[in-house]
Amino acid sequence: MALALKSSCLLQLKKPEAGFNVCFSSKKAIISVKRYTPVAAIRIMDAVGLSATFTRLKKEGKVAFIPYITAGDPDLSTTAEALKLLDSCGSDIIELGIPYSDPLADGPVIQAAATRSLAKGTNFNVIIDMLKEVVPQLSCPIALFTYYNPILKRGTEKFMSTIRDTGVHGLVVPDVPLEETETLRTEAKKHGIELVLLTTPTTPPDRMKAIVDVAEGFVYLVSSVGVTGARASVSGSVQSLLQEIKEATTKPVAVGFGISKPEHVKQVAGWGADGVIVGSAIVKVLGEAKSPQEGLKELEVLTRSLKAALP
Amino acid sequence: MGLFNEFVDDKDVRLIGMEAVGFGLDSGKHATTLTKGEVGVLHGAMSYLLQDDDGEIVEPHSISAGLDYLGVGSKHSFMKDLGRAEYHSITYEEALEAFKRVSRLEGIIPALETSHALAYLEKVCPTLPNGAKVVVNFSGRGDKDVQTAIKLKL
Repeated sequence: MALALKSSCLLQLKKPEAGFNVCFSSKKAIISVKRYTPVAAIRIMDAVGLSATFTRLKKEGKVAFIPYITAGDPDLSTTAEALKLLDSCGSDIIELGIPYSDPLADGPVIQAAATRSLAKGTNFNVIIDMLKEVVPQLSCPIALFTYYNPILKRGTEKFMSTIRDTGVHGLVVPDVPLEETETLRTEAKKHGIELVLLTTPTTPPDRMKAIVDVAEGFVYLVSSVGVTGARASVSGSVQSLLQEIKEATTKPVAVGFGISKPEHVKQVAGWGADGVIVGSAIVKVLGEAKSPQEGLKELEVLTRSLKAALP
Repeated sequence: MGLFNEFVDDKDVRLIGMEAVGFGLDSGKHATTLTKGEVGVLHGAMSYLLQDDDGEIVEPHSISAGLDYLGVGSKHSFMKDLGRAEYHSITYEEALEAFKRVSRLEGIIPALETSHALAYLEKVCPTLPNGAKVVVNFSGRGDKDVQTAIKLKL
């Protein structure tokens, strides 16, 4: 199945009008874990972006699978392997979290992952270096999840050009209010980065419409009031929220926060979501495994079962 | 804003805010967001923050809970930028010394937060003209801080 998805993806990417570069690469993986190397020998220099991914999936009648992992947990080389593994298991987009020292949108699992990662010395620069190696090996686009202060500190323009040069396609910044996104949006657009915006169960209708109007890539629907983290079930209000948002926009809507099981994934897809985001459950598997190798094995099992729950 | 709020529009009233140095401004263990912080965004608000070169939040350090926050109110940040208020820093030794003196002289136990302001009186009063009136925001009962003071070997 992964092979079929891969072929489908490659065929999609080979459309001549898209102007993609395809080349053979002799790059060696820093750590050779042959089992997880992508099947395709062809390296794609630029994966298609977020919006285009959703457009393709819509035509195919499919729902996007979007896993989230925290960079540097348990370590950066494992993150590199995890990205390749997630890609080969059929992820449509991968969300990569930049660990942050005050992650107010995140629950205990991702907070702990960020704390472990930062304690190991992970920072923006080493993550970028890792991505420069890995992104050319991936067929699906990467969106970074980061808080606003590190962007501000680095300088918005410099931040956008750095991540763009790395091959990143999208950006999620959970702690910037809509009114303050103008600068971010301008710089993101200038550099070809799709800035995803979030809407929640408590967002008033008028504000939700303003948010979806300027969101790029996709609209991130937060499924519950509160922070990230696995829940026993997905709130039934998500179904009506999805309906409201889809009445307000034709942009794709992906649901995240609190989705951890194949049943959740299937349910949300059935409610009409264009994509499903799974974070804490995946982060937990990687971060709490007895060894990185064991974590990657468990990751593969979990990822395949989540992906299989999607049409 | 607290006490400052009533005096903001009275230009002849000087506004002075105190921050906790903890172990010293260069120790990396302090809570002086306005004195040593840089502009940043924390918890959705832009203000002065203690942060490192990557924009990571640095854990503040102070002996008093109320001065131990990673950021500072946006209004205080604004008033610092305007020059309407001035902000200075006090070490914990100075704060504890003030805590002790006021307790002995007045029979009132000040909150440790207040003790930082009281400690600054020692520095600012000699610079003021004769007859100047000084108003100190004297908060808290201080009894909750006695254990902290004892631990710090008052």
